[in-house]
Amino acid sequence: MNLHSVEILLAEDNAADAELAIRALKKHNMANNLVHVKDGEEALEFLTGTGRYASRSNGATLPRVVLLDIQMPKVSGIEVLQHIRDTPQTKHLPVVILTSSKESPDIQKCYDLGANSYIVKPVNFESFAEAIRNLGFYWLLLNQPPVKS
Amino acid sequence: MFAIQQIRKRINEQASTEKKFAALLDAAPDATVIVDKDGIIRVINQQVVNLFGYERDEIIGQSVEILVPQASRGSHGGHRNDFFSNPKVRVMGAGLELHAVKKDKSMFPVEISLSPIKTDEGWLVSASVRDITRRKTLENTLKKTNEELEAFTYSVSHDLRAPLRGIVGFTSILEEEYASQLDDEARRITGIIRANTHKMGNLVDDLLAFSRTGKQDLIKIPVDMDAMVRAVTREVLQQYPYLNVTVSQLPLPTVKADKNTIQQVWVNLISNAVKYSARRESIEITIGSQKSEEGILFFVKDNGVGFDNKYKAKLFRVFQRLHSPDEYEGTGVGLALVEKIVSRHGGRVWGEGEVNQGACFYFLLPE
Repeated sequence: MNLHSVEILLAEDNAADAELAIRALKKHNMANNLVHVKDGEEALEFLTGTGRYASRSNGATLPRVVLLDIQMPKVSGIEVLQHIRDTPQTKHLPVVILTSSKESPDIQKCYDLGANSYIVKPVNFESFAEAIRNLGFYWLLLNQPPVKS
Repeated sequence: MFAIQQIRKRINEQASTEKKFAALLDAAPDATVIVDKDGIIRVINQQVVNLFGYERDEIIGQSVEILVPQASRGSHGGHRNDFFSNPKVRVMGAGLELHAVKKDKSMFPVEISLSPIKTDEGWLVSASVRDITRRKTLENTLKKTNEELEAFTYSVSHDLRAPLRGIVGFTSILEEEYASQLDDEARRITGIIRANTHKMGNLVDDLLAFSRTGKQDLIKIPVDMDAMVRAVTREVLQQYPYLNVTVSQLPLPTVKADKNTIQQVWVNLISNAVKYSARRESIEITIGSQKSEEGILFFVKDNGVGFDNKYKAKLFRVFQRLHSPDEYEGTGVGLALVEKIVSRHGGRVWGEGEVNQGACFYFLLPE
């Protein structure tokens, strides 16, 4: 896959959740340009074109949307979100937070930090697949990305 | 001669009054320090000796500031003057965390109440000092326990859900993508896996709802129970389109309650009434209320399977069920939640029933 034209960046440490999400997107032909990173550190490397993704440092476009799990090892989703919003190049990047828990005290924090959406992953597979499909549909097909200045 | 006797009698009386006063002071549970306008300690009781470690003659005549932590000494004299300019019974430093200093310079948390005493020599202030070290320790333990519980709830909610998603998700994939390779028995088994996982998901949700109910603040506003019950009933019945249910709703008043949680009470009671009547040809549910001296009594009555009254105390305990999941499914949290919500409203809840003769659940909300 051409790393320069990634549409979805999925940051998810739980392999099963990642596979389910990718399958749901694939079913609707929305996983062709998807990169799956397994923690926040890798997500930041991808977005900033450093470390494992140093090859992206030249002229790579940003993904259309970042699907970001909150609970991840090393660098949490919250920290990734904070970094995205604090960096001029990624400030307007659409970020959808994925979490297991609606109990989470992080919900408010994520919105305060400028998350575009906040999705509680349902236990039920059909709802999960549906939620992921809608996410992909909205962010890839309907949403107009911010105009590059 | 007579005059001398009189004087002696008065001296005796005075001595006896002072003895009585000292005895009374020593009998008080708190350490008592009586201080004059200049902040000099004039009288103490035995508890001061025990608590602070000073002997009587070491402390009488000293400035009361020796009992006050260094950091507060500067402002203490000013506070004392304020007290004497308007002498009345009050607590010291209301809302503040106060500390006192022992002879060995160690500090401990205290609660102090002040009361003025008018004497021939002018105003004195009596300070009752209570050592609250034990209470503070307990408060801190409780705070820590609550924080741990919160972290536990969060992790239950997060970490138990993830594997459940995996089980349901991959079972569905097996059913969809390998449909041609699965026979009827295999499909029955994947169905069982899915049903059980679904049940566990509900259990996790209910547990969380139960633990959340204890923590959230209630916001009491006037709630139109009539409209609320009508909406809840409609919603509950939508889940049972195949049942023949008649609901008779008598007029219900508007009461002050926390809207969200009280709605949960109605949802649980009405769902139960329908669920445990599901085997009747025609289900009859009556919902009503009655004004009583204690408040307003609400009830939900059904003609369902009922229960044996000798188990009625078990109805409201978490995870206690009077039916097997094969007969009527459920997690055993619903009524425990009802009980918790109603008691947090200052009310109470109970149920009456008879096997196969229906059940009636009551909850009383104080006005």
